[in-house]
Amino acid sequence: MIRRTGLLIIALSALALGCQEPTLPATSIGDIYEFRLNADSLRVLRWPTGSTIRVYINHGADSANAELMATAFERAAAIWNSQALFGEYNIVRASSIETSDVVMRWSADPTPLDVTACVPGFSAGVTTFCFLDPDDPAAGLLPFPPLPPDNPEYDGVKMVVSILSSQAPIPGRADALITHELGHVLGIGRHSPFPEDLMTAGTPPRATLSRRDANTIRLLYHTEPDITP
Amino acid sequence: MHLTVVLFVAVMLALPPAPASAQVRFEVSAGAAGTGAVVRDPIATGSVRDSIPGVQDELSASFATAPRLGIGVVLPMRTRTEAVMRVSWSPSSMQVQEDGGTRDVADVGIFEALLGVRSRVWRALELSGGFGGLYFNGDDAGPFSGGADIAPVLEGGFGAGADRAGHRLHVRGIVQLHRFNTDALQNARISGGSVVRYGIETSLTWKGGAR
Repeated sequence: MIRRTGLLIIALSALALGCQEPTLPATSIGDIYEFRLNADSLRVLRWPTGSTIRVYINHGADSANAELMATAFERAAAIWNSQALFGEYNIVRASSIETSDVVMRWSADPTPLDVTACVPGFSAGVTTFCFLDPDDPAAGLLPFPPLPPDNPEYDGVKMVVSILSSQAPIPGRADALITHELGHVLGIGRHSPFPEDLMTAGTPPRATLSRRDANTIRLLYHTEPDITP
Repeated sequence: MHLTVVLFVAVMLALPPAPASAQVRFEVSAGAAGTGAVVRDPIATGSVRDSIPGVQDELSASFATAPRLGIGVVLPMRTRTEAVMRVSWSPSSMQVQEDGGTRDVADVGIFEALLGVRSRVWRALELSGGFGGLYFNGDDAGPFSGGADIAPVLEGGFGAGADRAGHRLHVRGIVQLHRFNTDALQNARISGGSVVRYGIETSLTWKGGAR
């Protein structure tokens, strides 16, 4: 009798386990904001799936600021990378300009790149890139040649992130700005209309992702790109 | 984990006590195992798809078919029935299937510990069943950042065994049902669910052993 009861419990447990739903998200992505770049038309700009995006932190003249930027970058990269559940992208720090895709700098430091063809904008934080062919955005982004002594032939740098040096002393500001700008680096080509989101325009209200920010980046990396850097 | 405890108690109640003279035997096994989908993600709602062209249809992830190696101890219970305790390991990877094809996203070692029963049902044919736990040891990134839960698992098997040179050789197909969830999936509001794992294996049981 005891054996039969044991076997019955096993069978019922197996049935209960087997009848559960396969792994599914609790909700599909519905709450997002527009992420497409407004070029000649709405275009999806993002790195190819599986890309490692290498960011070089320009040291500059102020060591304390360089350390602040490096720390904020590592934190921000971890936040965004945590949304790449299935290897959609991976943001890492590059050891030199010649192994980087993106250069990040404080605005007071000279740019270690030739920016004459694509001049960085001026804001608390700004991500700058230009199209190789303005009439054909799908042709890709214009490279920023490194200035000597780095190899000026290297054409891998496609974006420059500039953070206003006056923002450095403000507690938490570097974290918020750099996390926000990495969202643009990944391809979020607009600002969220919702003031509570990291990717809202102006000074970011937070240094973490809102649920809407997370949904948006996840959807971006599961949408066919029109433009890849 | 409560299900595992219930199953453990159930099997202990179901198994007859081993005779005092029962001889413990040792077993090694080798084979291959893979899974059905462990994650199936429809990505976006219909209204989002309508407003943004190019949204991917669906993403699904599974564990790649990989070698599965094990060692175990076998305790005869009756003439045709024996209890088997086994640990095994499979060096697999998580693969994602999406519109653009299939790609590996993480290396994963799948460790399992199983307690079960194997019985000769007709001539050389054998049935087996058991339960235990699976542990997924993945890179601390992507779906495995923050770690994975130990998953309760149920296994059923069907195969054949034959005595050769004083040892017993088995060949069997197995089907497992297990749970799968990780901290990263939970944080992304992706709920855990049941997964079917399947495999084929051969094992060799030494006739000699410790009393």
